Amino acid sequence: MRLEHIRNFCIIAHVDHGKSTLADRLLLRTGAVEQRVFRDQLLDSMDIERERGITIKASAVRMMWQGKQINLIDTPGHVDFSYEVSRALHACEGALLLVDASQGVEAQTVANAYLAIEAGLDVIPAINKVELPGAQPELVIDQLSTGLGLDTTGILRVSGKTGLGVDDVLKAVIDRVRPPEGDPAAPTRALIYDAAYDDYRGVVVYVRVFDGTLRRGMKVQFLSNLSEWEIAEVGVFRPEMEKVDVLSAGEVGYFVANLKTLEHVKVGDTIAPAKERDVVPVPGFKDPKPLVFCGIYPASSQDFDDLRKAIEKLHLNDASFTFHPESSEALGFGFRCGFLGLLHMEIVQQRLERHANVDIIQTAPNVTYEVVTTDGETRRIERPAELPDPAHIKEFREPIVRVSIIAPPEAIGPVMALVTDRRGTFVKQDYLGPSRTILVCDLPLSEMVFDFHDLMKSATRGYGTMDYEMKGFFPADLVRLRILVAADEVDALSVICHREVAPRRGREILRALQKTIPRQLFEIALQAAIGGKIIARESITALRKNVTAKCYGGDVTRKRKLLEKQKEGKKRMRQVGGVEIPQEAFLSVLGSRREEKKRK
Amino acid sequence: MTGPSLYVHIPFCETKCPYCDFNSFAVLGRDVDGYLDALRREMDARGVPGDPPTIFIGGGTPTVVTPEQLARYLGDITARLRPDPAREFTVEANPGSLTREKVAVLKEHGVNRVSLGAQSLVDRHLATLGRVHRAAEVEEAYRMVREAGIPRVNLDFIYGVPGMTLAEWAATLETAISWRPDHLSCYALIFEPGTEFHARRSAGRLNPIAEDRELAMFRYTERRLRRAGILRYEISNFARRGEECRHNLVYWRNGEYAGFGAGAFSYLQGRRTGNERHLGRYAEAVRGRGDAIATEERLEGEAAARETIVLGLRTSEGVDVEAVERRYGVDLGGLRGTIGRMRGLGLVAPDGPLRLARRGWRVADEVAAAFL
Repeated sequence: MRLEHIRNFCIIAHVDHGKSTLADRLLLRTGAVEQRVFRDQLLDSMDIERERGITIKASAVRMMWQGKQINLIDTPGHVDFSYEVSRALHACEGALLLVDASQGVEAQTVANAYLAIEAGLDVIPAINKVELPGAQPELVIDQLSTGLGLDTTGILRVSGKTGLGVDDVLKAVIDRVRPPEGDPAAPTRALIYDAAYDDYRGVVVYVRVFDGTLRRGMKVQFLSNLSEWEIAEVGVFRPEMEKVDVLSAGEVGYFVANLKTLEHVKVGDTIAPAKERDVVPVPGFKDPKPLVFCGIYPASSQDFDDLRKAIEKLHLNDASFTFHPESSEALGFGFRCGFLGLLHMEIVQQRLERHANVDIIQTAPNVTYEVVTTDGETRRIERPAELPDPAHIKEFREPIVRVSIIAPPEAIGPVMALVTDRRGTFVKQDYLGPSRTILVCDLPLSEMVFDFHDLMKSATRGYGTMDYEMKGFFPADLVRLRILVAADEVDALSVICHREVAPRRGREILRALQKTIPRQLFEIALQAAIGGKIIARESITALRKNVTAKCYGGDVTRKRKLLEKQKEGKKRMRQVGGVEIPQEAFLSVLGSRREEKKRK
Repeated sequence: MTGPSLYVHIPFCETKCPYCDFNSFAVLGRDVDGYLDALRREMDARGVPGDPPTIFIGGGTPTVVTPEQLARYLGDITARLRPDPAREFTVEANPGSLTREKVAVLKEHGVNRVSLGAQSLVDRHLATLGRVHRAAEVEEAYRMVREAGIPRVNLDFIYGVPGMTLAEWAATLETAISWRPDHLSCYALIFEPGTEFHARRSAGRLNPIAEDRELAMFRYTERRLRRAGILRYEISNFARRGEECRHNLVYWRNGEYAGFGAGAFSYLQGRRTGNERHLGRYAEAVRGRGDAIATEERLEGEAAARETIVLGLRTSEGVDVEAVERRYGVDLGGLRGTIGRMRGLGLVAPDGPLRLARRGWRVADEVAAAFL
């Protein structure tokens, strides 16, 4: 298809502003899917997404409308997934910025809008859910124009739910998004913006073609590693995969080669014809910077290989998490994984359990720290066990994020109190119209990562939204809080925290352990220590009684099976210094673990 | 002891007790004679061991039936055996169901041990347990059996009944001890799945007593009975020396037994089978094919050896691990670590056969599970 007939666009929005519903409407309207095969949130192909009603993976669909080929790339809205958003943006020329008519501009509306503007996209603002009784489109228009400086003339008013304004959206995409540039006759250049693993086809590579064409039988290379592959199939998403003869400049689709292993495919890489040496790579995007880390271990050690394969496979599909092998005294061999945020961590963990069929133990998450040693070396610390001896630490630094919180003006007081309580500092405050204030502050990432979002939500009665970006590492009075179970340090339970909060954090962790470690045949001492100094202690009293009163001829089999079940339960626990620690204990260190529901 | 022991199940009771998960049915309106026909047919078809070391008639309440029916099935059983007055022959009975006439029938057929389901000597607890007899009837029944010259009597008790205090339990034990019984079974109440008690507890309508109180009763029982010369030989069983129930010891030594009747279990040549529990299906199966086996399990080698250890750990004599290795032809060297750990915790005796130490009894299941 000629370039002027192609439009590539994405929809960006704050989470829950109705992006997936509108996407579904567009698919229906353009006939990309028929009513009879229609399911809610068709683009969200993962079960987890559907269950949570949020979009995690960007996926692309080709639609035909009035002689134009329109490629829609769906993007996730959650703050943890801004990396995926930026991937989608690189494959498009335009973005539909969707704002909920009653919620108004929220933190990720701002963040995503800036990402799109920076990426040079044509931004089309649209107000969604205009059918709702609480809709205040005029207020939204004011926020968009004064707060974000967007041109709101001809702003779209739509309803994904009723289908109102869907034709206007399609028309605006055609009229206001520029067609892709590129030369179909030039040597091929295509950007890998995503990939997935299919059990039958192997690696499926998602591409945006910038120049030239991709077709079956063609030999191509990956510029980052110069490996060469013959293309076995090219196709598009409609939204199911559908074979086509050719993908040409400006188009979005997928190809399959004989890629059985995952090592060669790197999201952000450029594809060029084999042997071609003069191809200029398409500017890729920045490597993701994981902000939260945790250890992931197989529940039973013989599953290590299965876990490794599962992680590799998942990584292909979600390049934004990092992993490398590590070992823990308590948990054996596993992986240290880095995530963009807590929700991201949970989703990866669930996907692993679901698709790999491996029970996993996940350690409490922590953030990366930096240590400057007395020899002047700067080291990244991803887990407490990597800390050098305190005597060799010249400076201990923690990551600080700059957080933007958008909330009604009357909620700023409580939010500020929360920020102060979490060792945060005020940076500035701006007005975004009469009912919206942006509060910018700096916060230690470790204080933000666990439950700050929840607490901010309740401080703003649900109206507040937030976004954050990494600011850098800054010195802080940090300590390694050691957790001892029956006098043995359990490395997987120990944490790094600020000295001032250590006693409180220590008590919280011990109480959480008290609740999750079952009573055993002896009393178990739980201690929290900084160096050799115990700062908190608790204990789990010994199991008092566990005896079956009756067991006669007819009972033998049944009673034995009960005992077997009891024993089976123990196998899933980890033995540390004679104490059986269940998997939940490793997570309970989180204390007030945020519930995923609240975050949606 | 040679050959398998004999168990016969009489699945009738006056009423079904709300805590009971045994295979038993209220007798009213049941075709007892039809059941006894089926029982006889099963014994004929499968063959009764001719010289069992022990016999145990359990239930249900084997004595709930009429004296004629009682005489009939006892006759059916004894007619198939080589007479041996030294053989332990136990019949379970409930205080309310026992009459002089029935006791005489027992005596006549060579029954030399009666196990009385007293359960409690406090009327309030008997009511909670749904028992139809009163405390006074227990003593009456006990005397009746003694006076008839049946030499061995056991009393079954349940403690840890909702609302029971340690003092009440202690008083029950005192009364029982004053009767000079030679055997006592004292069971902590179990909320078995499928029972009315279990459902009531789940619905919050029945509150189990506190774990510490139950534990106090558990410990008190052993201490008090020991002073009376009645010694623990199994988790819930206490006897004067030489008065242990030999039939039940067969179970805990993982010995062989042939069971007859609805829901009865047999363990013969490594094969454990269970009969149909339902009376109609039991009778039908027996009529059709002679046996009424509904479930079957065969454990071999190490699994059987481990089960033997788990059962043996219930007893004060414990289990000789080397003898178990010889019996099943397996190497249990892998258990050495577990034994060492349990010894280190003081839960099993430091030497000799593998057996629970004083501190091990109350957590016997934890110890046993480690050996499975």
